[in-house]
Amino acid sequence: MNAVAECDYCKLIERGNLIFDDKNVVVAISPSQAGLGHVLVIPKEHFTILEQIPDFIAGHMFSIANNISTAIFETLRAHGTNIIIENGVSAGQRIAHFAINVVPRSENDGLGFNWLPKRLSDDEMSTSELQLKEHAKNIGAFEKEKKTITFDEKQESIPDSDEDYTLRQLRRIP
Amino acid sequence: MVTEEELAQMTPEELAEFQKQNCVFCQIASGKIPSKEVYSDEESIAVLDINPAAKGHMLLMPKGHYSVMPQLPEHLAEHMFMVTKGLSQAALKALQCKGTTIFVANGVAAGQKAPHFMIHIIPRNDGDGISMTIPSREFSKKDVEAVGAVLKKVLWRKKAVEAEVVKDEKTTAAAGIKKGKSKKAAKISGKNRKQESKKTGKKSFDLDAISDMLGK
Repeated sequence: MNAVAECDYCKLIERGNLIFDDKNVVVAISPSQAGLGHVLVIPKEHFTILEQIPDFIAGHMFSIANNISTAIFETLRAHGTNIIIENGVSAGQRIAHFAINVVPRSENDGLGFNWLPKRLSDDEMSTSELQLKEHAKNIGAFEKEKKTITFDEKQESIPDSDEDYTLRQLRRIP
Repeated sequence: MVTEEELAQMTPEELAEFQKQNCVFCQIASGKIPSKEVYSDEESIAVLDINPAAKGHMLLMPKGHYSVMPQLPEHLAEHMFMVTKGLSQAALKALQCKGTTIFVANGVAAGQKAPHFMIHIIPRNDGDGISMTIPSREFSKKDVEAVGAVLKKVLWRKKAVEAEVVKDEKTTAAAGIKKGKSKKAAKISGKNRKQESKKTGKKSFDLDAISDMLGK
């Protein structure tokens, strides 16, 4: 509970003033702006890293990030966008609440997210390929959202069993 | 080789086909160019980056040719990110790394080097010397709030359009079941779709402009 109470992003969600929100996900202007219009896509529930987030929420978050990226292209006249996720402290994560950064980019904005290519031996490449392949085998069978029966579906199921329905009605008479 | 004149005379469809045939990553996805493949399913493939930021740096890309992220259909974006989660998890387990950086560049200005959408998954460790820190810059509060307000408007409008489509489809489907006039229902939903494409017609134009920006 403490982790949640002290989490900056949980507080941000609570404060409101959001760009967008639905059942599981919110979008907010990032408290620290890498470029004007830098936004965050955050799960409502307090998850620290990507691996904790149910598949369907993770997928949904990315599709929202995609919508925002398109909106940024359309409205802010950006030349590009970066999607950046710092997943884990070693990756630069500073707040223990998972977030997708969407950063508007324009030419010569001085933001360079580049890396120097590492020289790896064929051996190193092949071993990491095999190791990753072994663990990637299990990807698939993605977790789906549990469907709750909506009012509409209930209503439609009643006329299908006309007889049962009348019988049930009879039983109800005291 | 194709001359610039020939390129200029191509129809948009021909140009798209040309781009596809000359796309290195399409050839990697189809196996024409050998690669170190880590994962593959019907719609996406993950390979090791030949210019890696770190050992185990993976590229996840769609098998179909999409230059930038806004062109991706929604289901594919969702699917690819669920696979990204799996690959990040695989990196943590297989390579015993401490974290992952997940990175997408959309557009040349954002550092995109090839006109094929891809997600980078980079294994990270403490003090690995990879500088991917997101800087913090000063902007006036007024500007930030104004931009937020604009984005808010656009996102909610998109959501409203989507809800309308779902509602239309539901009502036409329900009408089809109840009255047995499924043909008519199909016609109606087709009509709706047409209207929808009219509504989003402007958007697809914008996307073309974006992919143009990426060059050939």
